[in-house]
Amino acid sequence: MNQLRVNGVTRRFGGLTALHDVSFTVEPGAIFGIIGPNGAGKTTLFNIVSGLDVPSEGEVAYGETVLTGRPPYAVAEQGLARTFQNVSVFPSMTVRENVMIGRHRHCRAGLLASCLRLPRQRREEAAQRADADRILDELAMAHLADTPVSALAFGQRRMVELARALAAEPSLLLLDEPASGLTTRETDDLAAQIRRIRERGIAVLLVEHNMSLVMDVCETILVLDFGKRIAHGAPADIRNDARVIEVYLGGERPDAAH
Amino acid sequence: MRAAVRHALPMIAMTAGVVALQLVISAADRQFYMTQLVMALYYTIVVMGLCLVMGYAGQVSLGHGGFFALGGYTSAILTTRNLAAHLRPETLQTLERIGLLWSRTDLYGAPLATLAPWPAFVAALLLTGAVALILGFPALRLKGHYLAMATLGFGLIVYRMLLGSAFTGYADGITGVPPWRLAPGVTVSGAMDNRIVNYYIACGFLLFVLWFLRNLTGSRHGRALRSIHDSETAAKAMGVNTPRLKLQAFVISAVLAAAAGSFLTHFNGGIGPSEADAMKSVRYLTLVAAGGMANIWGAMGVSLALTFLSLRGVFGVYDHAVFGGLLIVIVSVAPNGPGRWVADLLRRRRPTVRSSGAAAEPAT
Repeated sequence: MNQLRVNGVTRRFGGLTALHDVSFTVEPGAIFGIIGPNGAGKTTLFNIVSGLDVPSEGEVAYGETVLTGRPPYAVAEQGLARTFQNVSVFPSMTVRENVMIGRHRHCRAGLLASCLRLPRQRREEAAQRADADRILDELAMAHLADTPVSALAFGQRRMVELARALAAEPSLLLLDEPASGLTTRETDDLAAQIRRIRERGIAVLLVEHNMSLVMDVCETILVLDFGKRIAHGAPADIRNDARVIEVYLGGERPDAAH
Repeated sequence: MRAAVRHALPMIAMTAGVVALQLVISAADRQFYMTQLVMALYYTIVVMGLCLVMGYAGQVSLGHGGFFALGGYTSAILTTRNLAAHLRPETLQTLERIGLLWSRTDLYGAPLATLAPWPAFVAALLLTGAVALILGFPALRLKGHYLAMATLGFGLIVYRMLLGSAFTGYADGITGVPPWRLAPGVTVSGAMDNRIVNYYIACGFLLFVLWFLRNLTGSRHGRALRSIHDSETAAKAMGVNTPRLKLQAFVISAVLAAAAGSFLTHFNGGIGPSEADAMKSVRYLTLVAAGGMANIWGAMGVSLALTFLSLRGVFGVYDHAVFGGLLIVIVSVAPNGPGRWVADLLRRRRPTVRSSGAAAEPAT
């Protein structure tokens, strides 16, 4: 079990500083939430952690391994899996195939074994298929296994994406606004799902707009505004933090003078 | 067991079709069709290999004519260049005994010693694989159509070099390429009495490529390739080493083209620079698109039919126009390939699920 350490991460896009010296730690098995208004830098931070973006300064480490500078597939190898804000499933494939892509990093059969359909590869393929079906079963989606993802509703696609991430057997799961576009009921299911994921010993890093979901499931919350950390602590503290209330409800800013 | 049967059934059906076609052609006394049919089979192997790169990895290659020519020319040069004067007799004998060299006398009775077709074939595959690796390595690391540009440049360079170099026989190309004896009674050559054997050699090769590519596309590597096509970002985030996989697919595809080039060169007894012409590469690309992109069966069927008709001269001076027109019709009416279009019609349901979903999805 590893600890995720984000150390003094700054990301500049030209003249815009999307993230300014952000540091935090996610303990193994914890549920950690990141909130903030639109443009606060949450998704940028996510992309940096998962290797899709590189910070201008600072670094990200997972356990003993420095993730910064590694390509995304190498970050995934370390046991990190993520979902995307706008749901990035593979529409031309079935639900089962999507989930099997999650198993990719656990497969060992080489390209030649695949091309020649060697017995070892066939055994592995059957095992991955069984694993994918088991995960779909756990998420109550077994009946959709052979459905093309392009035929699914948005909420179901989100669940496919989650199943795909879980199939990778991550030790840290990054969820980028998993509740956006979901109905209230689907959101409740999601909260239950996130708790169940934690029970399996998987740490969750959650970016979310839905306050009640974040307050409900997270143990620690980091609040970002314009790329800067403005608060950090337990949900109860965040709820009563003057600056957080100000950011979310508006009001006179202490620094509004300039 | 049932899965194994389901996997084997199409291959068995294909084999039966191959035999049936030969019997029909023989019964109809149309043996002369065999020549163009064999050529169409080899060109179709190039198209099927390109299908892996375009349909599955989502990369455009305009250099497959160049790879085909590279394979063909390597075989042609190595099996026609006389080494008798350059090697000591003992060395010649040793090399011949291990099967690398092949001594004979030429038309005028002078000693002729060249590389045997097998080692020349292996050299052709290795050389083409290496060139594809060098070409693809930088191009496939970048996002966008860099591979298309790199391979277009490569194809043009190969064409010009073949045309302008004495080593490759200028515009005449290389002739006098010897027959390739694969096994007793099984020889790749264009001899009249050898047509049926060559038909089966080409079909066997095609069936092997079909089996090979179906295995690949049905495996985790095939899924990973399709995931790159759908969303490269998500594929990477799930641990797919995308640059490496794209490169592997590209090299496999180039080597298949070279293998087809090598076989066809032995069949025709020679090769000319027109094989590397940019229009050839464009035609391969057209046939993949007309077959339904990520559809090996479609690429195979469409390519076999159109290439055969084109080689028979059915389209006459309108050859390019017919190809262009057919592409427009197929892509607009049956974007997933004619086979799936017919299947969807038979099922009386509109072919929406596969195509529209894939197109409507945002790229991130």
